Amino acid sequence: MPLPPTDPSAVFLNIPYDEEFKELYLAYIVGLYQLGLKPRITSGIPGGERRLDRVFALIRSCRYSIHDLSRVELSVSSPATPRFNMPLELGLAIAWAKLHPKRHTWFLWESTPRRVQKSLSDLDGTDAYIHFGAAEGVMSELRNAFLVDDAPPAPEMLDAYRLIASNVESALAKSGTRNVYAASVFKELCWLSSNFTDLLSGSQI
Amino acid sequence: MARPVARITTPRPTLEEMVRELGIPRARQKELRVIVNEGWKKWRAEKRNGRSSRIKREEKIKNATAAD
Repeated sequence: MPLPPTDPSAVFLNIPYDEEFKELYLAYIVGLYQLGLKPRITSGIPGGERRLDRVFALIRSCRYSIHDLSRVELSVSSPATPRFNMPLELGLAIAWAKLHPKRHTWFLWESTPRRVQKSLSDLDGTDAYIHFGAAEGVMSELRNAFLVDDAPPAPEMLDAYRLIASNVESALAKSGTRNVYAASVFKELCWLSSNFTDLLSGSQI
Repeated sequence: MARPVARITTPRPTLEEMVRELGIPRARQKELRVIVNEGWKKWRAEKRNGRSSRIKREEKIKNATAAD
């Protein structure tokens, strides 16, 4: 069976879709566009297939994946349950990369150093990129993970993030939803990021 | 301990390619374009103001130091 095509610029974002993560979610989107890469999330793909099938198809179509385990924790509501979706999707990406190392590379992200050694000791020997729960951390670690010759300087990436963050409300006001993870909003955030990135790259300020 | 690193050698996708792939309806793109233009104008103005007030502040300090 032929292998599905892989987009060399696509990065699958395995992240929590919750309110507290919104800032980092936007930082990932903006930062990846600043580096000439294209973020992908599961809500961004159409189809009525089983969610797991959609996730795996998305991983296979992306050259890279980022697995942010910083919010793998017990839920507040009863029964207190750990969130296993992100480690499960990480497992799928690891298996895919083991089978096809030239087609996929996965990256582990955390907010706290050495936390992953405690939560997922099977990954001993792999260091996580640490963002310390801040957009600045996401930007600087994206630059460390993805080496791009014409990468903008870190302050410029942060500028782009602030510029886009300050305009998200205007976009949401007309989109008919407050959910920034909705497929339509994700696409619009990508649209804003690519257009603002283009303006910034040609700016003399 | 090791962290994987990716050296990106593929050419940067163009704005047109990225926008086309997103498949946002034209009418909505027009609305988003307004947000981008207004946001960009405001941001540039703030940057310029920030820069000119920083220059003024630095000049003030320089003059005060020279007067001493």
